[in-house]
Amino acid sequence: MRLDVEPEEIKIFLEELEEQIQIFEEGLLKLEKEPESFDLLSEIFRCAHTLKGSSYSVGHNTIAQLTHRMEDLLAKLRNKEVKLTADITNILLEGLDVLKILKSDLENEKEEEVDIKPFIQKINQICREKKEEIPISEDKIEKIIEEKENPKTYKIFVKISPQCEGIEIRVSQIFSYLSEMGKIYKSKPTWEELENGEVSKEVNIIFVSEKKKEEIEEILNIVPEVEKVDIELLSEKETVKEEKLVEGKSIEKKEGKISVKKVPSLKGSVVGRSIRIDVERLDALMDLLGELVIDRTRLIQLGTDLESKYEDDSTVIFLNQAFEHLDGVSTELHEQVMKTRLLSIGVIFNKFPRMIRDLSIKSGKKINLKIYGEETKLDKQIIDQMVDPLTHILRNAVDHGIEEPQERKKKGKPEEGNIILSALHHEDHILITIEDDGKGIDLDKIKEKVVKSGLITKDSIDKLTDKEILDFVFIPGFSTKEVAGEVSGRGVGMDIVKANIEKLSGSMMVETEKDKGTKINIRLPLTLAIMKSLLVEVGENIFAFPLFSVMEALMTKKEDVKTVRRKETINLREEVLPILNLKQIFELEEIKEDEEEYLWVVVVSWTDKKAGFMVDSLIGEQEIVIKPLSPLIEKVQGISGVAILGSGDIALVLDTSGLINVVIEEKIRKIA
Amino acid sequence: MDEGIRQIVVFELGREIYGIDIYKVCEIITLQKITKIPRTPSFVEGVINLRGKIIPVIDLRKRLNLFCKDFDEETRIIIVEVARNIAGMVVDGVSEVLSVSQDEIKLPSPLVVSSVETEYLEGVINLEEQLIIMLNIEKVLTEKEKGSLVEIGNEVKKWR
Repeated sequence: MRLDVEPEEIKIFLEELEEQIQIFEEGLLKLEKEPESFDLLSEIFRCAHTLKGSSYSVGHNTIAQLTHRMEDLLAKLRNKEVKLTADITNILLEGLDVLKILKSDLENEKEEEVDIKPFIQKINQICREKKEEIPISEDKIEKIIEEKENPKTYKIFVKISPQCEGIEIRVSQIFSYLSEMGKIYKSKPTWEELENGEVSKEVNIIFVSEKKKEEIEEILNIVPEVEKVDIELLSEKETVKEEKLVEGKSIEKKEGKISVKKVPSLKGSVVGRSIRIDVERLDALMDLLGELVIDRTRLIQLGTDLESKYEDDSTVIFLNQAFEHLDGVSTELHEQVMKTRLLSIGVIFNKFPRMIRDLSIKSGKKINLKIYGEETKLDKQIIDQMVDPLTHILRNAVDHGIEEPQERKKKGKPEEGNIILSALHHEDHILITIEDDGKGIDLDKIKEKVVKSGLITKDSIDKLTDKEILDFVFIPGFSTKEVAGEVSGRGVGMDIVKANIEKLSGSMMVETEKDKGTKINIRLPLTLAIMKSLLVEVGENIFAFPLFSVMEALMTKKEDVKTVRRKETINLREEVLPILNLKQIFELEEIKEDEEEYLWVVVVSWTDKKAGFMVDSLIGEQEIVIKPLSPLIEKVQGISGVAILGSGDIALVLDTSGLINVVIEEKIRKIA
Repeated sequence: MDEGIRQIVVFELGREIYGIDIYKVCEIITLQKITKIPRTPSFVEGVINLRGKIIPVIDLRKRLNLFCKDFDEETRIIIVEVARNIAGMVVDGVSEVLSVSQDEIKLPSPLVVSSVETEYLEGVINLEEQLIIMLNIEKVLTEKEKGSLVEIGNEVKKWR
């Protein structure tokens, strides 16, 4: 459908569509569980109403018609003419689905359109079943006045206080409130005049509404800086005579009903508390901030150098004071900008109730989804990347986790299965868990598959711990073959989920117990771009460990490194800690066998595993800006990017879980 | 600018003379500290920090299997922009910028003897005693080689 409005308006309309559809769906699903809640019902009624209004004003008649019908149905619910049955919930959900399609068609500028007639017929039928409803003819797309009980026509005069500075705002507020209560036929100033700023302190309106005069008066008096409100009842159900008010729009008479070409919908003209910002602008801000961080570090370093050169020079001292202040300010700036990029994870969590509801109906299983921690905030980038992995994990939980009601009954479990999705903030990272009380992951089946695929012999397999067996689920190509049910992904295995999470410098851990259930823990850093790190030297290179994964750094004697099962380890306070050699992993050149007695070990943790990495020396903690390696260079496993240090040198940023994978793969290669 | 006149940056590689269109060249710098990236093909020298930008640098001589002399005062890095990616190429020396007319650039015939595989060549210019070989720099920087991959584009999107 081609709309005859500015692209900017279409953009705003699309954003509003997205928002309102979301609120509607959420509210409806909640209402299903609490059918008596008047608040929820009112909320979704408002959604339909808002969308109806804005779609009329941009001229999208199909969406207008659709939302109009949905609003009618909701009105009936509100008036208790019908009760909320499963049928009604389903038809409304179906309506939302059609709406989503229409929205995406509009986004993609598709000319042809989904035929909404069948849906309209369905919903009409449901409306009709309860009480006689005047069927609205479906081919007439012109807006017609609802056949309500007693529409009254008023002549309204509003005077705005002479001290008022923002007259346009007050006038739009007046129009806005009136539109919510009825229909503005004519007005002086007209909608166009208002847009052009041609307003005066006097507003005249011909208004049709069922509301009583007192109600309208009350509402209008809420508008600040309104001095006087005069309302005159013209007539009931009379056609409007041509008043000498306006040289405005012509009123057409069509078959005894009055139709108006445009209904002003003024949502958004009231000055609100939030602003929509393009993500690109935020990204640009972040980039600049990254540069600032680098420069600041550089300046501070230079300041320190100067200080050691010109110890008592007062100018140098003042300079360093200024740098200190700059440091404070830029750190604050950093934090504030970070926060703007933070979104509540609820943004993606809220898609899931609907998904689980549909999946459980399809699979015949009873599932209850509980969500906690929707307010937990994450960097937008990370959130975007988490949609697919979380969707996949949840689908798995439904498909392979929760058993069918019969089976659950036999096991003595409640028929309804539980899936708990939660997010919480812990120090400098986020923990997301997905837990189900289903049948757990079948380790024996995995063992079988592994042996069958020839990866490991039957004898060696028995030597592995449960955790190590679980790790196999994450090997590329492993899970895809057997379990590509219709519900879970086709070929999107757990390996890809894990890879996606690790790309975000996160980690994933699985716990499972037969017939008790499965729990998946995902750990993510708060942000990707700017990160606190521990810098180390290894050979000629400088490496950066993400600080949030570093537990400690210690010095140990070379001779304390023992080899256990071909793995180098040390004793860390009674624990055996495997040690990995970065030089080996990265095939770096060995600069002469060290005569050093001691070596440094950085102890790193991810999920529940710990490992130590041998390094030549520690440089220190630094906040770094991570940049990606050029696309022309193939991704190196174990390295998540590069960072420019204050000194101008380049550090390689380590991806700890990627590093471990390098070692695991080597291990498997050696065993097999 | 005249249609049909091309401006070529002329440089030396492994004892031969090469050229590349000037509009592809961002700048030419002297050798600076290159940070090696582990586990990359041998012709990938590493990355450099150019005024805050991370730029990958490849050794063009190694890439094209040419004779590699040690780095010296003549060695330069030519920063090019190819398919919206920026990269640096180590060359043995940059001599001049030449203006040639379009028809002076001939397609490489099988008779042209060059150490470089013909698929990386865009053409040759026969100028007095000199043979200048025009490089197809896009192919050089982006082609998948057996055993080592050099891919464009999607890596960045995936990372973000």
